[in-house]
Amino acid sequence: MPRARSLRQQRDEALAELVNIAFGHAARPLSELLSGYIRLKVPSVERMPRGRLGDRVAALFGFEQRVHMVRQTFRPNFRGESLLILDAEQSGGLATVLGMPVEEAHEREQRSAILEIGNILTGACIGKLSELLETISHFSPPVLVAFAAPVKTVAMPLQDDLTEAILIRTDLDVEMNPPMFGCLMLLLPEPAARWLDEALDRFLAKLF
Amino acid sequence: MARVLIVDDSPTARLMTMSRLPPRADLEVAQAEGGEEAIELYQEKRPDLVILDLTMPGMDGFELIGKLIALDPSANVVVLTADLQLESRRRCLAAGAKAVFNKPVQTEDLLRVLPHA
Repeated sequence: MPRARSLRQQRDEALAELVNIAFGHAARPLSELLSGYIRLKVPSVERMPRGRLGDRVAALFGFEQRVHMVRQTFRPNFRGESLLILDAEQSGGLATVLGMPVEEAHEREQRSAILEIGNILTGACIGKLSELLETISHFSPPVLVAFAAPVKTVAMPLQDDLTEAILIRTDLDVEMNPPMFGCLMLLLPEPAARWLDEALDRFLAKLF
Repeated sequence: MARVLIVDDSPTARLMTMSRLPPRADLEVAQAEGGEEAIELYQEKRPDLVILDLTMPGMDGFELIGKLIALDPSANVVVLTADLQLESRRRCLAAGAKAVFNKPVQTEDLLRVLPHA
């Protein structure tokens, strides 16, 4: 069973497991918010250059699909920004948060509910990931940068120094509710991507 | 001799669990990447303790607990999970797990469930 794996593979496997742990920690507050038990799926983690991100996200959701997008920045060692994209068509969980069918809620209430979901998921993911990598991250408040916008039009108004993208895909399968689908993207400038690799190396070194 | 079977799809998670096992010379540790392999290894090695992950592709931890208990009602199965939902813990215990620990697991937790030397 043992296979020779490159350092890059080992880092990616470590990152995937740490993300898995981080999402697990988000499940409890999310299940309370969404009033249902969440069946956790294994999140998939892909690294890619920033230039490929728009096409990858569009392919993931479908080019014509409408999405919500929440942006948050984090710093200082693990530095970058996170973008949480939720499928606007699969928003059964949103109705639960709102306590009424989505179409009956004011847009302001819908925006607030999306921000709350984004805040919990992003905070838990980045916060726990930072803790596991032995650093402390500070967050900016979440900002809703797209509301029910076609995915092809939210093609990432990114800062120039964000060179590396980590795409984390997760399915929020909430029992008693229609599923929600979303993905979380972490965008890192080159120094932070290097810091992340070094932190993963330190983490792996402790396991051997 | 105490035989331990670690089941997790993530190589890193298996390493993390291995690194938290107490340093005992009499531990024999086997690893499986998923449910099917775990069942085969269980039948072959009859481990004293199975440590399994809950969130795995294909057969998840809940299903695997049920299959191991069906195979051997006295199977000593504990779950490692990052899932903090109380309902997950309840379902694991109802399926037959002896204990549920949160990831990353601590050595003290494993000492509670490992057979004594």
